[in-house]
Amino acid sequence: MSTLTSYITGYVLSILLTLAAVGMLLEHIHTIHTFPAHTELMAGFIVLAIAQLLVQLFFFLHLGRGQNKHWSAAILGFALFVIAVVVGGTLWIMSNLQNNMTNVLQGGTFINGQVNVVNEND
Amino acid sequence: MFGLLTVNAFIHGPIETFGQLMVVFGALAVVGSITYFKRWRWLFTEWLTSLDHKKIGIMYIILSILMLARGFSDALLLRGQQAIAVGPGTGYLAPDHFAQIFTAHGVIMILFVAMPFMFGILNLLVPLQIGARDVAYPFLNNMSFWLTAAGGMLINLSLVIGQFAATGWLAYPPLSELQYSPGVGVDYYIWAIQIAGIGTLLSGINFLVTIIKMRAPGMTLMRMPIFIWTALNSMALVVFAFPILTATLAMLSLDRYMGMHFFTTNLGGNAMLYVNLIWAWGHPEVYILALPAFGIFSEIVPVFAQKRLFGYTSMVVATIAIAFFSFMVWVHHFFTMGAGADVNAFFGIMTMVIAIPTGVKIFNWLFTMFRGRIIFTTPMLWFMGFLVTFTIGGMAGVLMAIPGADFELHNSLFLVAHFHTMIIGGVLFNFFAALTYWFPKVFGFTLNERLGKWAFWLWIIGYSLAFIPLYVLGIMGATRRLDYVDASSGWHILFVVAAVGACVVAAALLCQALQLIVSIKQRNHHCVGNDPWNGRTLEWATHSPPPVYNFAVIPYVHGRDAFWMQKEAVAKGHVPTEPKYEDIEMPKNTYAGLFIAGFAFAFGFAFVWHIWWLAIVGLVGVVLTIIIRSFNENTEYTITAAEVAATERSYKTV
Amino acid sequence: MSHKLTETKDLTDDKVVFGLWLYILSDCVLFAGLFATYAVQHGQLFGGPAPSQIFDLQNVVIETLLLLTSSFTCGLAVLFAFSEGKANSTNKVVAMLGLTLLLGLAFVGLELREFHTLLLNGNSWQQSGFLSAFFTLVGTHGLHVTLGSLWMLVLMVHIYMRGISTGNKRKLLAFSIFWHFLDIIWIFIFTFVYLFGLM
Repeated sequence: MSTLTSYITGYVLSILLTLAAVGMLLEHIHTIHTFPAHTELMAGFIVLAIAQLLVQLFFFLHLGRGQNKHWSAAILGFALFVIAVVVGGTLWIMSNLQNNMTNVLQGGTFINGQVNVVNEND
Repeated sequence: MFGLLTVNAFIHGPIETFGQLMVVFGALAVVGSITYFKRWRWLFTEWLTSLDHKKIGIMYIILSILMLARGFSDALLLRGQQAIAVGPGTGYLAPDHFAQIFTAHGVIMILFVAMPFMFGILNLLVPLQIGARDVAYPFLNNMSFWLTAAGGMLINLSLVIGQFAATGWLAYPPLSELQYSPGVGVDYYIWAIQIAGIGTLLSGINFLVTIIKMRAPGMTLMRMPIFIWTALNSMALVVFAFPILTATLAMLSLDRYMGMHFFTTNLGGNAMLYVNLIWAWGHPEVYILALPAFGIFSEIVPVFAQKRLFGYTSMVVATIAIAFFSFMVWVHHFFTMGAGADVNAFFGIMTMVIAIPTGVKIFNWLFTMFRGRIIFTTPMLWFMGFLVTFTIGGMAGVLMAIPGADFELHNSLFLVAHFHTMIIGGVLFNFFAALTYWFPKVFGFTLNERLGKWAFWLWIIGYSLAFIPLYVLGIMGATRRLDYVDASSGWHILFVVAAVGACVVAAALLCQALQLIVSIKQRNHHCVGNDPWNGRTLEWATHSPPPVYNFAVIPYVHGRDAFWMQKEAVAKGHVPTEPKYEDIEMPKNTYAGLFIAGFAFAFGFAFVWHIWWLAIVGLVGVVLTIIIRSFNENTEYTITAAEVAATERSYKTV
Repeated sequence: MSHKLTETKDLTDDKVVFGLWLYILSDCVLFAGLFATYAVQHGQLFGGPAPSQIFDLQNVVIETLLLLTSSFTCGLAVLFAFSEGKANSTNKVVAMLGLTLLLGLAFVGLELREFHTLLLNGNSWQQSGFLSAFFTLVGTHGLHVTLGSLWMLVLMVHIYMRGISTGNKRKLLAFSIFWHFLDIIWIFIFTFVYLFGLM
């Protein structure tokens, strides 16, 4: 596969994936936030984003080709591990802290395990 | 014109003025003696502009020792205050000044003593041990050193002009926000660390690429010395942990400079987010220091036990495991911040799990020593000291890994004793061992053994007197960072013992300084060749000190302990073939790194004092220097094969 | 030790190229920290407008297409530089880079206009945790694009002055890795900031 084909394929695929995500969003807004439903929409966005990431890694950055490919892949793996741990860990820890440190007496409430904090500035 | 900078910034209380004068006179003394001995040209051409990794390594260690003097003076001041102050308002340090001192002590010791020392050793050793001539990016190497030095200069300058942060070494908000720290202290803190942090990140990339791509032919991964394995993993940690620090401190500075609300107490800020993010960096940071330190002993123990390292493969696996796990334990620094049992339990278990590969390493060293013929040189003594102190401190850590226990011990002196044990026993002792072990390689003569042993024993006694009372105090309930103690607590006597310990450590450091002076004076009587210790790894194959190109001919590596294999082959009667010399290209000296760091220093200083025109000058200066450097195509010089041959012959006649 | 390389295919093994890859992975971790912060802060509105009220989908889609196209033209510049024969010409490479630069600057321009509109309506970064996080995450990416544009300009001067030497090929390859990475980060900003915000 020549590199020109590689770049064109990557470009077209990326545009399609972007427009697909925008299309899903517009459909959701059009149908007054009923279709696709909230969770499916989020999942769809994430899948499309990861797909576009892979497209660009492969077609633009030529990951998986060249002499460095094993080390590049290994380091990418470690980077993804760190990013997943830092982002995922932060979300888990911060929501846990929020839930445990809400002061009910000052007006924060627990409803169905979700915290509702009363903002003084509201 | 000068932003917030006024004459008031120079005026301090009595003790601070003393510190201010020490820095000023120290700088004048250095400048004066260089002028007196007429060594400016030599200093610039031979050292400051050099891209030679060996010289850069030495400069890192010199920077580290200078900052150690500052960090240790802070420690003496703190110990003295706690030994004397009984009751509020007593002692010689005002509370705000006390807070600045313990903040500076922490920042300096970790980021400007331990990190530069580690990079010094990496610079000296990594290319030599992998059979390379230099690191992957020699110019970046030089620039990284100067950026670190610029950060250190900012911290020292804060003693002369203005103040330093009074927030603790990690500058937690909301105390570090503008509302509660309106002065310039936290800004000095931020910019010193950000500038040095860029240097560190670039060095991490540099050494990672060096180890991956510049090993001598035949040196597969499983034939690398363990020190190189630990360096590889530590640099991977640097590359992936330091950006978190950069981002977090940047957000803190955005809060302070642009009125944002990341960590403020109002309008949606979340101080707990800062603590979470900064420790997501902070924990890998301590393993960044610890892993190469462990690697040093994997080199030293086999040589002085005169036996091959036990369990090479398990050492490699343990190192990689530690690197992975170091990213999964950070909540243990804030068990008490209020996370639920599930979060705390997970991170508590992970913290205990990470002790396992560390234990594997310790057992491997012990098994290396078992049935070896041990020579108790100073490096070996440092290893024994490490073994005892680090194991005890490690057990204290596993104890605190239990969240329930940590609720009692968090931020107590037990914690302080634990982490000092880890860093002194587990990092500093290792560095002292490395210094003694590799000094003859770098300088061509050995350090005085007797003074080295004296220094070791004084350190062990001093450390024990200074920190075992702290373990006891912590369990009795004493909090960290107390600037006075109530007489009714009964704790005072232990603080006095700790202060005595600090004085013994001071004696140990003086002993080490004396060792250096005596060794230099006696150097002609203690010259060594390339292999004074009967070493096993490639750095002992070069001359002492190595020529600028390290190896006249890049060796081919046939197995682990490559140099040992070379020696065995010679002993079996193998006659080495006449080496075929080739032209060698080495990087030229350059001022660009100095300029970039100088402009970065100006930028940092300008931002601290809100001198915006100077900030722009600094920024433009950095960018322009980089651009101008990029147009320089003439960055290397050639050493002809004939010159190499002549240099090698001159060694043989010595 | 010397950086002399003889064949172009060696450049995939090159130290500088590999080092750039490491650097952009470290930059990804920096952005991960900012993303994590945005994820934690995005609900902290404090009486201010919700994301859906201040994000302009049309503008964002145009920005996305601009940056994506610039990534494509950058790839073409690399392709021309490494081709043999007629396709390999200094002017073609410089022209492609110039096009990439224009698209990148257009992206930054649109983003600045978006920020300006927000500020005019009183939605500055000082108003809430959400806005602080938004401006910082999107702004940091924009800053990277701006610095990348400056890098690109200097690179164009290098290539114009000294042609497509091996050294310049290495520089171009290294730069292209950075530029592609910027588009990859944008995928995630587009998704997690704008698409999620407009749901």
